[in-house]
Amino acid sequence: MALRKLEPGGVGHDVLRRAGDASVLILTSLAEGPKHGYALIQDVKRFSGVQLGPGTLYGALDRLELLGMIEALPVDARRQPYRITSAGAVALGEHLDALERISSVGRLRLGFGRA
Amino acid sequence: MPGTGHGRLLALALRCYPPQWRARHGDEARELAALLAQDGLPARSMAWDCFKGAARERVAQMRTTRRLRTGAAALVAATSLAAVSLLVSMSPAPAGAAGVVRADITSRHEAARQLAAVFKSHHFGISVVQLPVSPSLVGSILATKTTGHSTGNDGILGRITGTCAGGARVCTKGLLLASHFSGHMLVMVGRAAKPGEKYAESAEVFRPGELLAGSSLLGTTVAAAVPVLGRLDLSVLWKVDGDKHCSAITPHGWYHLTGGLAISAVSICLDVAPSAQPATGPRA
Repeated sequence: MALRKLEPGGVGHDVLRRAGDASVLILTSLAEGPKHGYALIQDVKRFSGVQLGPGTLYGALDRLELLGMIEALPVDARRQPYRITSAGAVALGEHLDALERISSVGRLRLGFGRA
Repeated sequence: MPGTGHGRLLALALRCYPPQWRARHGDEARELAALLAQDGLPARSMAWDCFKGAARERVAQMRTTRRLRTGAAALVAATSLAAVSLLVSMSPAPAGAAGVVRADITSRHEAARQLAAVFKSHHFGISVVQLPVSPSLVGSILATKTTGHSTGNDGILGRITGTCAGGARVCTKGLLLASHFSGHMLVMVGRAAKPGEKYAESAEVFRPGELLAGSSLLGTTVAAAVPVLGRLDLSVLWKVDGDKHCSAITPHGWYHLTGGLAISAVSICLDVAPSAQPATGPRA
């Protein structure tokens, strides 16, 4: 087998892109610390203005858990808290890097480039 | 809210979810909806959100069990199924986590055995092949390849990524497979190389966990790097910018290191490129 240089990064971004916007918002919220559903919805609304409904929230939580990006913590007062895993943190970092690149290019092309 | 018309609509929406989902999230979702209603979120919009969520869950189940071909047909069928479920209180049907099998690597040195055990327990026609790799790739999935008559990549629903050995990112540490997968596949996994053995796959030699991680040689000149490499007792080959192959000929001393790969535990091939303005001319 030929020696091959592996492409650095990119995998986590691709996974998150397919997982959807709600997943990115949830990971961003959990990057601050563990939260349960209601706290997640409140935090996401606070920093992004997006109001997640219960159906969207639990769908995204299940997908992220299946992908190993978050993990459920022991139930606290009948509420299920979640925390971000190291794989989730890496994937979120890659995704945000990619968004930043896209944002820079978009701004430049719109003529909003930094002086 | 529970007694109101909108509250009942929300309760109906939650009942459209598969039984497994209701068992796990049902109580908390009801409590969450009540809290959101107190915050002023309309119950009707929450109910609609839950109807859509239930349809997505049903689609996920059906995709893995029936492999529906068109999204529109799947959505219509899922909505119908959800309605039927609601009206006739369909009995719970085990879905095996919505038809997904998760194969995780949790121990680098047990990677092949862990994956093979999962594949065997689900009667998958998947073989695990171990290849000698550079240190950061040990215990990671390098590639997958379908063999013979197969359903292509239909079986792989996703890759689980994680931190590589040594802390570099990102390595594949597991697979999500469709439980119905019936094809044949090879999964190649990295193992530690034996003394003198060449690597079949190699990562960037300067990244964490690799031979020259933390050496500060990346970006330095060849003249500065050669004595350091000599002390490390490494056999060094060079690939000048644009070349296809590694060579034993040491490039000009004012060239700088731009990257490299390990060939084995004692042999590396470093990428070099001319510096913009050689300060002292060739002297390697």
